[in-house]
Amino acid sequence: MRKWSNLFGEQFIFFFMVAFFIFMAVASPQFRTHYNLFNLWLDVVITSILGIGMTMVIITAGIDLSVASSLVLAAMMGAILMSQGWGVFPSFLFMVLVGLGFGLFNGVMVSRLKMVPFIVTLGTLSLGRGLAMLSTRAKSVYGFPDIVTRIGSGEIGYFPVAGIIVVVLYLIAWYVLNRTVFGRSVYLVGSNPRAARLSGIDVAKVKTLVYTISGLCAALAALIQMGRLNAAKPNMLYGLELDVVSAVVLGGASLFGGRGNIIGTLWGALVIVLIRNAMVLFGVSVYYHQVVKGLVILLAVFIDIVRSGAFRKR
Amino acid sequence: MRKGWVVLLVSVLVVVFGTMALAQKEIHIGVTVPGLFSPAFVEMKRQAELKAQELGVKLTVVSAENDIDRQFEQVRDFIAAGVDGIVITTIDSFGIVKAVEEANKAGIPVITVDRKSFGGEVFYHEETDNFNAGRLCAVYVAHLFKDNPGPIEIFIERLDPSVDSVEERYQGFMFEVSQWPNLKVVAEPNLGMDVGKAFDATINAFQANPNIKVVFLPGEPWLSGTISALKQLGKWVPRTDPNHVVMVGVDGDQFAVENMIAGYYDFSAVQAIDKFVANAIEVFAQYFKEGKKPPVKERYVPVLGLCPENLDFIKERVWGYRVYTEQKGQ
Amino acid sequence: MSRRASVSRSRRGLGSIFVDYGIYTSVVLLFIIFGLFLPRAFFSLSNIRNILISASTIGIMAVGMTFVIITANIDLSVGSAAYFAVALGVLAMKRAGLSPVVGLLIILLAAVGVGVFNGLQITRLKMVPLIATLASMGIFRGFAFQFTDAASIYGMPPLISRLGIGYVGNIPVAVILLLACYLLAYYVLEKSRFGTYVYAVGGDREAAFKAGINVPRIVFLVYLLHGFFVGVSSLILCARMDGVVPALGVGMEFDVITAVILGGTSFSGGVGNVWGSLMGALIITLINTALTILNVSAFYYDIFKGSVILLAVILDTFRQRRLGIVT
Repeated sequence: MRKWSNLFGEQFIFFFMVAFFIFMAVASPQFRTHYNLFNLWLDVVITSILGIGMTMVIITAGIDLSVASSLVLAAMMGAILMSQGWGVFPSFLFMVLVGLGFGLFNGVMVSRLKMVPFIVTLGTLSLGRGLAMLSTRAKSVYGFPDIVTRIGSGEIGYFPVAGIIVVVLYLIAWYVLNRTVFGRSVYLVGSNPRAARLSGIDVAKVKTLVYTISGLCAALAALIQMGRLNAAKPNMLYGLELDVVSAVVLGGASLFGGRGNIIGTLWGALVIVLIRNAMVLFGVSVYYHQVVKGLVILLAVFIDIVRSGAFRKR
Repeated sequence: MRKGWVVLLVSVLVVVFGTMALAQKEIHIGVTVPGLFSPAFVEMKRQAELKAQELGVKLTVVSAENDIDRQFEQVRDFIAAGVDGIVITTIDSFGIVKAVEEANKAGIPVITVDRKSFGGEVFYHEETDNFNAGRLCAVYVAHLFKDNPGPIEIFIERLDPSVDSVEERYQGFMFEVSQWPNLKVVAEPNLGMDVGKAFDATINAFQANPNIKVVFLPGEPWLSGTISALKQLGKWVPRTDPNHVVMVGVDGDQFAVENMIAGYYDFSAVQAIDKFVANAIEVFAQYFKEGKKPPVKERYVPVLGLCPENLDFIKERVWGYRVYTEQKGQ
Repeated sequence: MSRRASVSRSRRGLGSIFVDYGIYTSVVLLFIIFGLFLPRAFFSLSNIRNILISASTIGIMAVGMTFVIITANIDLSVGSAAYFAVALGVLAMKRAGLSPVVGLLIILLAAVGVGVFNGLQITRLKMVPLIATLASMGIFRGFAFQFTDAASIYGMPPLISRLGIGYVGNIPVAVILLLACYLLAYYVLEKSRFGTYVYAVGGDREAAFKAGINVPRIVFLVYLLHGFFVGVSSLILCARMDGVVPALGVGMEFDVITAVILGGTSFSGGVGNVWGSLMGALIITLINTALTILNVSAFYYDIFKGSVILLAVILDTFRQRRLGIVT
């Protein structure tokens, strides 16, 4: 019984997402088209992949505000290499190195130098953007090999390639977080660092690892992003980090650490994308997009709080 | 009890959104603009809405907040919503190609305004020339100081290098400046697209270079902060005063016009951008209602150079002047 | 009486001064280092005055934010609250023709209103502050967009202009407001019972409850007070923009929060002081000032800013380690 509820994520967000989905399917004929559903899935991809790393970071009571910047930096690096004639695979390897390095930097700052994650990742946010800007002097890079566009926006049968990748990644992440020692230590480090230390866990190493994973996720998402537009631009995706944090919190994670469900993050990301889709399909005034998004997020979190009882430790 | 409230809320939402979704089938055009921080784009949107109303066309205008990825999503959203035509003022000519291609695949015609798309098939295109807009400003500055050996110190509010349109204006300005040995740029800070930074940047630029004689604004939304800073520094004096700091900029919005009439603003390269989307809507309406394609596939609207000397002659052609008079009447 | 662990100084001399007053020395050091590149422009009274002018908006917001963070909360909506407040005020003055005094009051009240909204979310509805204020950020900006149709509206009356960019003798009004806010906050935080409660709530919520403190009420009042400071800062912003622009305040929250954290206030609550936040605001302002004055190429901007922030935090973390403060 516990296994199943674990797999579906915090129950509430799953049902909220399903309810929203059904509502949309009923209320809007355009929603039900293959085109729209396919694109919805594609839109979820970036946020949800970043959400994997972010969930782990937040479970350790940290936060990573630099995910969008490291994504963009990795994307620009990959774009430059590919435009110089490098093959896709070596370029991607380099992107992964960039992402890992970035994440490692964050991790060391937080775990060894004991700096506040919010400020550290805010600093690396600026650094990452700056480096990305510098790399092409703010110009965009266009035109990548076919395999990149296939990954970013191509399909296998009815399903988007990127969507399959997300599902696979999430299964792996779920396994790691719930069935491995490492996963358990992540939870313990977040909920009770002292107990974790006493039971022999290298808290600093765990923390470093989660930020590095977050950087890795950014690199993965970067490749997909490149294929999405067949272009990369240094000033894209501002504010994405906040969407990712929202998705993780909607999915049931607590910013105080120790709690969090990886599958929930996927549903949270889907809810955010559904909101945007709804507003467009229903022709809601552009000014109200932010308002509605904020209200729906509040509503979801509020209902979740009410449902889990007001006697949470606050 | 609480569940009851949730059910009530959801049913209200269903009713509200449901009725909106069941609106009548008229021509539906989707428009995406880079952002609404600029009076030029706001006026463009307003003119588009007026035209749509006049022609009985349903219009959805969305702002991409200078993010090419969001603009891509918006075009896809339009395709999914089943619009008849899409109008794009793109943020990045390369980045929008995939979006245009998808619209092509879905059989929806695309009109681009102000910036081209470097790929895909476009039904119609209108633009002004950003490079020359910047260049005209420099030409005027060079003209003002032609008998002055210099060096004439210039302060440029560089905004965001990754936003192609303003960057091209900067390039145009610099191109012209490089032809004149007596003109020298001493400060060109990066303000991002944050209008609020204009104030601080101006204060700092004058602190480092107290003898700045010219301020160039590649985008006039940054004007009000600049003026306040000049006022705080005691440097906001009219053209007749020998200590006047020359103000030149691109856009031709109502604030620039107002200050020019009052004698403080020197030159504005007017972008006739206000009617672009309205024209696009008209083109689409003719095509969908009567099957008429536009006579030319591309139209280039020249940039107007507005200065105090010619203000009275050409003010009717300046959209900022129209908005200024309308707002004054309010 | 600010909360610094009283550790007996085992090291004498410069090192010890740096350790205890890390943030203050950081500011002076930065000032000197930047100034070396362009001494004539940097080391002058007018530059110091200009730095204070530039720092005033973020600085005043940082005052309120200090209170919020001391209670272990956060507010991401300050930028949108400022836009919302200024939008309402400008609409009232320009479209509804109300008097400047009314406009000014509306700006203040609107900002306080956002604070009330946030406070209620967090205390009554028990929302997580990060998410609640993240949502507010979008909600209030969206509403203000709708009310103003995202237009830029200009033309403020002298009352507002003088408050924002005016002078009293040689001293800018903005700087006077800045110092007044800090003195007020210092008094409230360090010298009043309310201030003690604020520290208590932040330090250990359970203990505060048990000691009989009405925790939700204190948190709510903190957001209210914070809203007031946001309102004062919004007044200055309104004067500087000479009205309202749609991008007003975008991204301000991150600069404000950074300023407060740099100043020694901790996210876990119970630790912090307002003067540190002022120093933090000055650091951020110094960075921006230096980048313009030194004419740093636009592309290096973000790299530079990120690096200095990281350096400042590293220094500050070492300082706190030395003093035994755990963040």
